[in-house]
Amino acid sequence: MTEGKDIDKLFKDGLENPDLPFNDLDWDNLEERLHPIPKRRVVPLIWLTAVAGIAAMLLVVFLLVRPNGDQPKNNPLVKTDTNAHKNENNKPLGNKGDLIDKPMANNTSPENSEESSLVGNNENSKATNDRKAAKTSPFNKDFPKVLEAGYINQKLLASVLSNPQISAKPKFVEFEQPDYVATLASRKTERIQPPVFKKKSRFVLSILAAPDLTSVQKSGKSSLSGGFGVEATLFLTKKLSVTTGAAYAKKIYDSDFSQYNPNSNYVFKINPANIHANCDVIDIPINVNYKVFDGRRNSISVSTGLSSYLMLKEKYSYSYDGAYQGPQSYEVRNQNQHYLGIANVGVEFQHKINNNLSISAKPFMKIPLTDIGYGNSKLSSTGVAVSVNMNLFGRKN
Amino acid sequence: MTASRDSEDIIQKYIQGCVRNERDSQKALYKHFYSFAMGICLRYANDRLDAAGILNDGFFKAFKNISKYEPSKAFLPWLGRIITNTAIDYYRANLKFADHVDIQDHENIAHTNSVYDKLAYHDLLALVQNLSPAYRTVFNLFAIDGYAHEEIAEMLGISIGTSKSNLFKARQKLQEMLKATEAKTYQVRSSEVDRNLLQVRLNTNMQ
Repeated sequence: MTEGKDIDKLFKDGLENPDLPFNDLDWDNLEERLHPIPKRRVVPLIWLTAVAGIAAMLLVVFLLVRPNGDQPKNNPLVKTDTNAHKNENNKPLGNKGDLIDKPMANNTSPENSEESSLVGNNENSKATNDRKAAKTSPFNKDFPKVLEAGYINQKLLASVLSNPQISAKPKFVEFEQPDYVATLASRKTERIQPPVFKKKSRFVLSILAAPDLTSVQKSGKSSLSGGFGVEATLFLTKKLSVTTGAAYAKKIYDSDFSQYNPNSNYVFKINPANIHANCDVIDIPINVNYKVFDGRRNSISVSTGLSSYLMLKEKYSYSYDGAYQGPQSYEVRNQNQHYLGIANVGVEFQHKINNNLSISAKPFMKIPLTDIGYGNSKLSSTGVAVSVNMNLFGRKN
Repeated sequence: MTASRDSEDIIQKYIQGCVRNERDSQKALYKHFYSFAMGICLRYANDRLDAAGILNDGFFKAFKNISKYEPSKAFLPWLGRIITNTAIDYYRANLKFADHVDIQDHENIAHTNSVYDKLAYHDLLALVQNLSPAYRTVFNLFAIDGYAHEEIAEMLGISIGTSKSNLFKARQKLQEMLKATEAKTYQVRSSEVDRNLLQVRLNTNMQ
C-alpha cells in the first residue's frame, strides 16, 4: 500500500491548494441565479392581476358601503326637501323672476342670514334643514298629496334621486348635499390625522393612469371617467412620504337639475330634467402617505390629502322631460379653480420589480369639500390608479 | 484545507451580508473562496465546464442556506463540505461502482499529457479528470479530502469493500497513466522530470 500512498501524496500535494484565477463569468452566472431578473419580470403579471382583483373588490366595497351608509340620512332629508320644494313651487316659483336663486331664499326665509352660505356651510345647513322640516309640517296637512309624495320619496326614492318627481325641484339637492358633505368631511378629517405611506428610496417619480367612476353625490348615477398624470413622491422617513403632481382628468357625469346650482341669474323657463356634464380638469394633489405593510417586494400604504381642481373646460348639456326644448348646453372655460377643495383617500398596493422600478395599484376616493365647477355640484370620484414608479436617485438599501 | 484563515473577520462580515442576501457580500465571498472551491470542483468533475456548474450549484446552496452556518466554526470546511457533496450529487447518476478495472481510456490519456515540463497542477488534474466518476470520486474523497473508507461508503451509499476496491483501481489507473506519461517524457524530455516520475514509480519520497 505504500505505493498507493505515494500516489495519493503526489496528487494531494499537487491538487490541494490550487491558485485559480477568479472568473467573472462564473460569478455572473451565479448572480443571475441568486438574483434572477427575467423571472421577476414574469411575476408582476400575476401580481398585477392579483392586485387588480383586490382593487376591484375594494372598489365594489366602496361603492356598496357608501349608499347603505347614506340611506338613513337621506330619508328624513328627502321628505323635508320635497315638502319644501312643493312650497317653493306653489309660492315663489311663479312670482319670482330668478327662479334658481330665489327658491332658496324663500325656503330659508326665516334664516336669512344663513341662506347665502347654505351650500358651503355644512353645520348650518343641517340645522336649517331640521328647522325647515318642522316648519314645513303644517303644509303637509294642507297638501296631502305632497305628504304622499314625501312618503314615496322616503321609501323609494331616497337612494335613487333621479326620480322625475325630484327633478322638478331645484332646491331638493341643495339641502341634501350640505348635509352629506358634513358627514363626509368629518369622516375625512379622521382619516387625515394619521399621516400616511410609501416606497423605499428617497425620491420617486410615478406615471399613473386612473380610471374612475364619477358621480354627483346623492345622484346615485356614476359615469366612467379617467385621467392620467405624473406624481413625485418624496420620502421623509422610511414609512412616511409626501406626494404631489398633476393629473389631467376627464370628469363625466350626469346629474339631476336639482343638483345643478350655477352661480348665474339665468332662469330656465322649464327646468331641464337632466344635466350631462363633461369637464376637463387638472387635478393637483398633495398627499401624505404612510406605509403600513412593507414586505420585501410588496408594500401597502395608506394615503390621504387634498387636491386642487383647475377646471379647464366645463360643458353642460341639458335634456328635458317633455317636448319643450330649452337651451341645449352651456360651456365654461378656465373659470373655476378649487384650491384644496377635494379630499383624497386611498390605499396603495405596490409591487417592487427591482430596486428602481415598481408598479402599484391604488383604489382611491376623491371627496369634494366644496362645490365643484360652474354647476356647483358635489362631484366625487372613486377609482383605481395604476402607476409605474421609478426611483430617481440610485439604489439605497 | 487551511487556505486563507487570515482574514477571518472580513469573511464573517461577508457572511453576515450574505445572510441579508446582499449582492456585494455574496460576490466578495464567492471571490474569496473561488480558488478553493473551484479546486475541489475540478478534481471531481470531468472538465472545467462541469466544474463551473458544480461550483455555482454549490455556492447557490451555500448562499441559500447561509443562515444555517454557525459562525463559531470555520467557514472553509463548511463550504468545502457543501461543494464536495454537490460534486458527488452531480455525478451520482454516473457513479457506477464496479470491481473491475476499466482501462478503455488508456491510450487517450497518454496523448492528452504529451506537453509539459513537470507534473504541474494541470497535468495532475487532467489525470484525475480522466478517471471514471466512480474511481475519481473515491480517490478524491480518500486521498485528497482525507475521508475514511467508512465515511466514503456512507456518503456514496456503497460498501466499504467497494470503496477500497475503487480506490485501489483508481490508483492503479493513475499509475498506468503516469507510466504512459513517463514513456512519452523519456522520448521528449530530459532528466529532471523523469527523475520525479521515476521517484513516484519507485515509491521514494517526493519533495
